[in-house]
Amino acid sequence: MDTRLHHSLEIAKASDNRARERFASSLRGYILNSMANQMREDYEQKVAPALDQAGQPLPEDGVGVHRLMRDRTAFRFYSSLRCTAQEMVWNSVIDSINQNVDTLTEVGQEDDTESTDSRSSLTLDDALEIPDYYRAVDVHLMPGNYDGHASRPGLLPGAVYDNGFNVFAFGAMGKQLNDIGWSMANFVRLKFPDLKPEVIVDVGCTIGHNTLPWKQTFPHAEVYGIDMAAACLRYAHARAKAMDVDAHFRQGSSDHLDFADASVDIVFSSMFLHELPKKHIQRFLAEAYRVLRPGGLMLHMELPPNAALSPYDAFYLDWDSYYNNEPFYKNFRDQDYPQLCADAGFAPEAFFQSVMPRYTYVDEEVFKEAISGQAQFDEDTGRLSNDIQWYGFGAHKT
Amino acid sequence: MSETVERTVKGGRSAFFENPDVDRLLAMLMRLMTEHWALKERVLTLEALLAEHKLLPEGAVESFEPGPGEDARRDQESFAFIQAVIEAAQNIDPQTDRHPPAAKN
Repeated sequence: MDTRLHHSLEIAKASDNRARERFASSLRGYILNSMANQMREDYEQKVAPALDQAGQPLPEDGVGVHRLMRDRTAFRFYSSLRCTAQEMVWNSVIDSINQNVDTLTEVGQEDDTESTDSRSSLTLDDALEIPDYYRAVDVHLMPGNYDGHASRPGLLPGAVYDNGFNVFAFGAMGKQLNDIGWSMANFVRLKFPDLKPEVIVDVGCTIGHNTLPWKQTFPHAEVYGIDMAAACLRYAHARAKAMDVDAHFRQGSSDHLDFADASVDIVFSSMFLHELPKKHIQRFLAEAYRVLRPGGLMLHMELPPNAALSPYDAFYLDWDSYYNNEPFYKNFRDQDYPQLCADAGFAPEAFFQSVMPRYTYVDEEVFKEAISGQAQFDEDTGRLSNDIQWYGFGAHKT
Repeated sequence: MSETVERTVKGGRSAFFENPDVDRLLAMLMRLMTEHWALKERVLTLEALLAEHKLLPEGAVESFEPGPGEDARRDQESFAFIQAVIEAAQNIDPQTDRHPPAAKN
């Protein structure tokens, strides 16, 4: 399993640390494929039939399945090992990062934090007010969350994310962790070929891993990445330069997008909405509506809504909300996504959604075929495994 | 002092077994397996380098046959290894009560 970053922010890693990364990645792959399948079989072949035989109704939602599963041995082992594996993901890269603090600091300083040129820039806002919810927990058990424990974390939180996420993904999310960005950008290119975007904004961009594919897919567009975490944006800017892809990174909140009315062609986010409390989701979508030009669109790569999934699949994806320090995850996925878009001002008939294979793993013809029909939901939709399908939804600004 | 990344997680993480010590043991076991794997990778690297530099023929480790003395030594060491690991728990006795006696009032 290749956990190299494939760009020049690679840090030197002791061979034992590389072995520990490999182990953590393999363990994740084992848990999310083999142990997840065993847990599903336990439900389908033992728990559900036992209810049938007792003449009891099957659960109607993920909460009901969760109640039945939480005392099962398969669930306990899957869950305990999955939490441990999550911690191992970050721990397997932390020693390497701490051994490279000087290198990362030097790159960060070379980068000249407030640089601007016409093609790429980094703009930070020290006065940005960070809401309390943002710092309440370390999301997905990542030590330091997105902005780091230390008072001046430099590039470290971004390096934790970039290196750790590589281990987390066990090779399933793209060579530079960017398959989601490539998939979503090419979905737009192929599905809406009349749209020639000039301004594209990725909100909640973290280290810009899914931002840059938009520039690579639409090279004539100005691409912006917005995030609240200054540390991640510094890293994003350095990473984009290392990969020689132009993008503008700005510190800001999704509550207020620093763009004029009707000035943007595409507002995008990936794996972001589920980290927001509902009122912030509503504010963000309303802002997306405001800044979009007529003819533009909003697209969010996310996990599928619980309403579209079987009770077991809903339970399976809800797990992170309970056990992976993702406190807003389930609440988001319980929402009616078309209604969220309509409430923001988008016309109801302008809503769209799609399920797609990973663009960088399949031929373009296979990808085109998959996005041509209605979204089909199954156990692979949103489930990080070797067969994952991405889900995206959004709306056109008419 | 340089900035470093800590390992603490704000918000903690869950335990799943009725006795959370099972979760703790599983976490320790996974760490042990990690270190075991790291060592195994070093051995694989050593074997590959020894073969590459022709210090040892390819497959030498695989085809090694311990002589009678070495064979007996390995029997004793494997037995001792098993004994040491399993008997590490021998003193744990749930009946042992070291709580101080209640005050006599």
